[in-house]
Amino acid sequence: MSEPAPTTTPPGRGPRWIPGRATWRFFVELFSRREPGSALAWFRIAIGLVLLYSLLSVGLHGLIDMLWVDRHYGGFTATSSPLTRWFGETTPRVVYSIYGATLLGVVLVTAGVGGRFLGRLITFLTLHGYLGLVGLNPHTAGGYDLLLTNALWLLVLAHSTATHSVHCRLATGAWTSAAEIPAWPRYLAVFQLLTTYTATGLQKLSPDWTPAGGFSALFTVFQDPTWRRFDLDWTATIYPVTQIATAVTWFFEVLAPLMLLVYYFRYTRDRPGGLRRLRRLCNRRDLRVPYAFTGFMLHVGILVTMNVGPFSWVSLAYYICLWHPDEIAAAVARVRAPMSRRSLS
Amino acid sequence: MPTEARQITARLWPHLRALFIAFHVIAVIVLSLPSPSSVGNRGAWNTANNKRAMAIWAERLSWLGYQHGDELEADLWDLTQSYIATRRTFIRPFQRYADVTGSYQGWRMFAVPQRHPAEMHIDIRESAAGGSPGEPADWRPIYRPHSDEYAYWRSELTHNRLRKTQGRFARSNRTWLYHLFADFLAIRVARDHPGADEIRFRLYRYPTRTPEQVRAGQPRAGRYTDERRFRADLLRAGEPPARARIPVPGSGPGVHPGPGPRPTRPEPAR
Repeated sequence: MSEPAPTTTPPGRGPRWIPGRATWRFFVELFSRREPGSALAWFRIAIGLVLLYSLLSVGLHGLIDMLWVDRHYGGFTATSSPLTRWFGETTPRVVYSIYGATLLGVVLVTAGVGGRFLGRLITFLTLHGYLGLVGLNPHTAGGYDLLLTNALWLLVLAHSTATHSVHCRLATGAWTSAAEIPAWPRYLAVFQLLTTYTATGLQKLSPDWTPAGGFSALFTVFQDPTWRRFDLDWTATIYPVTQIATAVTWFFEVLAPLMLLVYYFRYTRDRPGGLRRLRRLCNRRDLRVPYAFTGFMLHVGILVTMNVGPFSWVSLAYYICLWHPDEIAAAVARVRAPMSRRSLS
Repeated sequence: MPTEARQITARLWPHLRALFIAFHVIAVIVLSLPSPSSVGNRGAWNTANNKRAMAIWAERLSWLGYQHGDELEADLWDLTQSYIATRRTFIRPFQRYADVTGSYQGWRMFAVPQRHPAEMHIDIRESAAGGSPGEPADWRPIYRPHSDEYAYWRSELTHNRLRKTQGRFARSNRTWLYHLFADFLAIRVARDHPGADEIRFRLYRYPTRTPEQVRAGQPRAGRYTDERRFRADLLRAGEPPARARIPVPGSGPGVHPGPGPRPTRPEPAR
């Protein structure tokens, strides 16, 4: 995408300075970048698998009626969503039809069926099918549902079937393609992840998350029978560890906006100026690695100790977008190289 | 498309795209701000959890002149009302955008850990199992959370979506949700236990123990509240739960319906 033509200035006059113009041009240029489609393709596949789990677990537990059908037809509470209101009442036929259609849509999204237009249409319809279901009963919806619907919208905006998809196979004869796609949906996925962490951290207003409450939040959560997978009374014997984990969790979340600065400094690593030292310091090491590792360990901890649905899985799916596709490819190559050498010898 | 039009479109498109992305980013930020349902619910402010949090913060903020949690709560409530009024004026376009795109935000997760959880316990009574003919038998537990012995419908009740629902039972402003849940389950219990005469749902509430209490082996000390009883024969005959309910004198939040057995859930091995 070419840069806009520079403004011409009348002879004898200096250039007209418009406040914010340089900033605007910076963002226009940033959002014009293109990259291989593999990261967004893996994001699409990961989100699709989480969606499949989310839907199938309800169906296989026989809970569709209880959760989503209106109580006059067999559910436990009144249910309604903008989608089901199109059909009148939330009867089993309506709910199961939306469930079946959404499940089919999820399979098609995961497989990467459809190109620029059809693929986006399928994803958009799947998004509204899923919204139509989970919106029926807010008392059974979770934070992971929001992460999933936001991910589906980003996949609508992205050309996520350019590679690693049925569309790619049908269009090129190969499952993968090096064709470049706009990078800005991936940037929005990073922004969404960091916003989620920041918002949840800042809303942790209980003193238990701070020194005022002795960093007792995680221990308290482990005593709540609602979410724990098994008896966690033994954590009382390692209480200081739970306090450290509480502090790490809270700081990890509220400091998430600083990662935007890390990304900015990476993107402008060669720029001169007053922030040169800070920029060099931030670029000395890839700070995404320790941040992502901390997040990974937190989510593994949640997975092991608590049953909060696929929240950790969908969050970790967003982590795919933290890296440029070439960086992911290089990392995979580094992991594969020793294995190739071993098989040759 | 004529060449000139194409050139104009090519020049404008990056800027239009950047404008859209800016709108999306602003929408995500604005929608992530606390919603009125999460901060404007007066009932939620009156829970034991929040009262305790207010008291602690008031103590920490005593240098600002706060003596009691109630004073801090009053100021925060006024601030919250102003915030809600302001939010209402500028949220609408972003809310519409979220309705179309699914970009809803709502990240209030474990904001105030529950220090007074409530477990749902289910029991049945079968006269055929009584000691003397015609005498009602004792209540027999069929469901206790995290119990291998009393595990009726455990796989379903421990599904993450139903865990969330049950977690809300502990909040005093969601009692109606527990009532609906119990009404639904009572029908199922009646059908699955053809010998049952009565079905009982109760909430077992207890304060979370401190680490010191847990290490000292102190058992959970709770009390039963919100008892709901049903006649199983009426439910099996197709009567709605409202008709099958047996009034329990004094049953309600915070009222023990009478002497009853201690919870039969076994204490975890130390």
